[in-house]
Amino acid sequence: MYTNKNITLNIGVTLVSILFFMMIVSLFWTPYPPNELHTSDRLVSPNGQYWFGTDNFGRDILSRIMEASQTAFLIGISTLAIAFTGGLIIGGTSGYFGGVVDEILMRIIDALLAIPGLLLAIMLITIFHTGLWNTVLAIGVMGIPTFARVIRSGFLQIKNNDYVTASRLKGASHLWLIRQHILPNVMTPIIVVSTLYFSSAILAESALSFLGLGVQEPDASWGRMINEARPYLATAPWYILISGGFIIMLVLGFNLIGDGLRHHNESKR
Amino acid sequence: MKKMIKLFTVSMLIGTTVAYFGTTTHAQDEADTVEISMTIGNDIDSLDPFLAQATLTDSVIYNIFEGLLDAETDGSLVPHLAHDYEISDDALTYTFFLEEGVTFHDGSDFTAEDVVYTYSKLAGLDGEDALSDKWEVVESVEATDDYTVEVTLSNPDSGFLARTIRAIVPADYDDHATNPVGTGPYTFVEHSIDQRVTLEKFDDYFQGNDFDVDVVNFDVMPDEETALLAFQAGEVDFITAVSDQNLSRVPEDANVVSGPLNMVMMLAMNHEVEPLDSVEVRQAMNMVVDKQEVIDVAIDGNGDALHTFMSPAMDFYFNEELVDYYTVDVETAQSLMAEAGYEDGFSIEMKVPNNAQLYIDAAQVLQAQLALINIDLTLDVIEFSTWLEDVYNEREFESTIIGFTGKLDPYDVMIRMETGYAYNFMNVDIEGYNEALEAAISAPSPEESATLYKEAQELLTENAAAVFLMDPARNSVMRSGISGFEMYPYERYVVKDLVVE
Repeated sequence: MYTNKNITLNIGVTLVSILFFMMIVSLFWTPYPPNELHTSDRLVSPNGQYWFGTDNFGRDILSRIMEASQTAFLIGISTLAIAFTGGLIIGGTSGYFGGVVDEILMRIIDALLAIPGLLLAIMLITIFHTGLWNTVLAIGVMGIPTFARVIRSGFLQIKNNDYVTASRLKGASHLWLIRQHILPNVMTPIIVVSTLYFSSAILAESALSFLGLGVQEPDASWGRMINEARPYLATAPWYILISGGFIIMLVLGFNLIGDGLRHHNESKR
Repeated sequence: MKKMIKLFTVSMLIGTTVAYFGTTTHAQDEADTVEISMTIGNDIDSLDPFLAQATLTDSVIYNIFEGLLDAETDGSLVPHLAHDYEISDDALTYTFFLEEGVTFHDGSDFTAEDVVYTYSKLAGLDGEDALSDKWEVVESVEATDDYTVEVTLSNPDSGFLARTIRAIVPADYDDHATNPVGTGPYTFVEHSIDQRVTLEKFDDYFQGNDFDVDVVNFDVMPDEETALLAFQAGEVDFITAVSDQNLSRVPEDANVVSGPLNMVMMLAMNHEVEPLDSVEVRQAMNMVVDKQEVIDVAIDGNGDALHTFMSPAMDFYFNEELVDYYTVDVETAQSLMAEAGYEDGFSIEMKVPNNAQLYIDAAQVLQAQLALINIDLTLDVIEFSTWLEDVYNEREFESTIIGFTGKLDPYDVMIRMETGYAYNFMNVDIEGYNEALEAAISAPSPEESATLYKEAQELLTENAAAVFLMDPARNSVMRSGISGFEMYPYERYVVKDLVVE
């Protein structure tokens, strides 16, 4: 059983590592400048010169896929930061203090949860206009309720343990208690949620970019590449397959890591 | 489970690329009725010819309605509901002699009274506001007898005749939005919003009902992929617009008719915003943009390069001497930039309306080309409604990319750059241009007016009013056995001309 779960984790880590390595390489080198037009080589199928072919502007698809991996990781990490911070503040306060504070904050979270995530993101983008950082903000806000719930339930569980009560009796401050005793004990579920959130953030960015609301031209994004490839589905199928394939790789990778970690933790108990 | 949901979402994302088949069923041609389905990209905005705004709407409802004159495929005017007309020597009085024996779809006779009613409404002579400011030039409309109408203008206007292709509606009937009544070859049957418009042959049509199509359905299919799949499945017979990239996908035996849209697509600039207020900068931009490259990439080479604010489709008015006034010359462009004080370039933003992929594609090519003289173009892709609000109405923009649809009267196109005109959103202010346009309108003969329009075009090109880009070709595709379809200088689908085997 145990090794079986580990395989899931290993595949996930391998997939994400490959893409992470590609992202690091792209910071220093891509086969062609990602936005360079080769207008005489439009929609060329994959060959020795252009490994993944070219798009309708004659831009090298491999270079753009590499460039777009930066966007994917950037979106994943920065939305995670927003969702985690927001979730920690709301969920932490709520779970730690309980009572009326808990009631009020949780009802706000309930209200947020009632709005479909993508719809909320589209609303925020309509208000603040499109662009990379507004996309990050929108997707980040979308994730706050999930994190707030997980962190709150973790806090509720840990704060009544005897060792926490003991520390409190010794006169420990709230912040010290949270930092020393509670947070380290709720990190495990948070990490699992984070990996799963990472992949849904990337999916959300792809969906927004597909709708034309995410990252803007000419910056590369996998979701927008799918959108751009759509008219050429019949004439240049490799374009859409490659862009979609990379989204699947990264999302699958993070999901496998998340699942693997969860089973790993469960079997440890 | 969660993993499954994620995977499902991914497949959905890709799945959206596979368009679905519409549920509309296509009635098979029976022995005696010929029914065809044509796709249109958007629904029509009104059935009332006075309220309709979109060019596409006109192209559909002008199967129901007709004007005194009609336009030919080359843009020339021919008599229609008026079999003849006379223009007085001072070019102020137009006398129209109407066809007799024409009936409206409701059975009433078409007489001078209907023309007076229609034109009075358009020109605001009925006490209400004029429905169109282009008709304000009309001072009076009178019926001298049942089949003769006299229109008097307040000042000469060479564009007036082209406006008489406007629909004539029956007197004192205003319910066109729900039940349009015209004199045209087709009568209205049904309009399901966002789905289809159905028209049926009018048996009492005054030029005889000897044409092939009995029933026509205009099916609304905004997605080209859907339209193509429906065409391949035989559900529709005619796609009004197919992009160049997809032409290779239509079956080989299908008929393809291509022609210029008479559109002027341009990189438009706000002349009141710094660097762009400098004529040297605008000329430099004209010299660095390779129009042919834009055409090759954005529309697969299927269009004409433009050099002024007029498409070559308007043969009679088009100034062909301006072709290649600017040729690609990066060095001269660079020195013009230096002359204007921008040797290190500058950054500007371009608002790109997202209603056509063509704009987004062309903008990205322009971005790469302008970078050659260190102009850093940032693209802001926005909804078309936002574009109308921010750019067209509020004029809050630096540069944009837009195509103006063709009109029969060159004045309707060129007025957009007239200083002081309400929709001169580019704030173009070129000395002598207003005077040149006014002279062209009041010129006594069409030939003289054409010469003056050509001079006005020269002013625009010399002063680099915009980077005029291209007139994209439009492709209509119909199944084998359908022929007779012709392109006009403006979007028009004349169903009665179709021949079906």
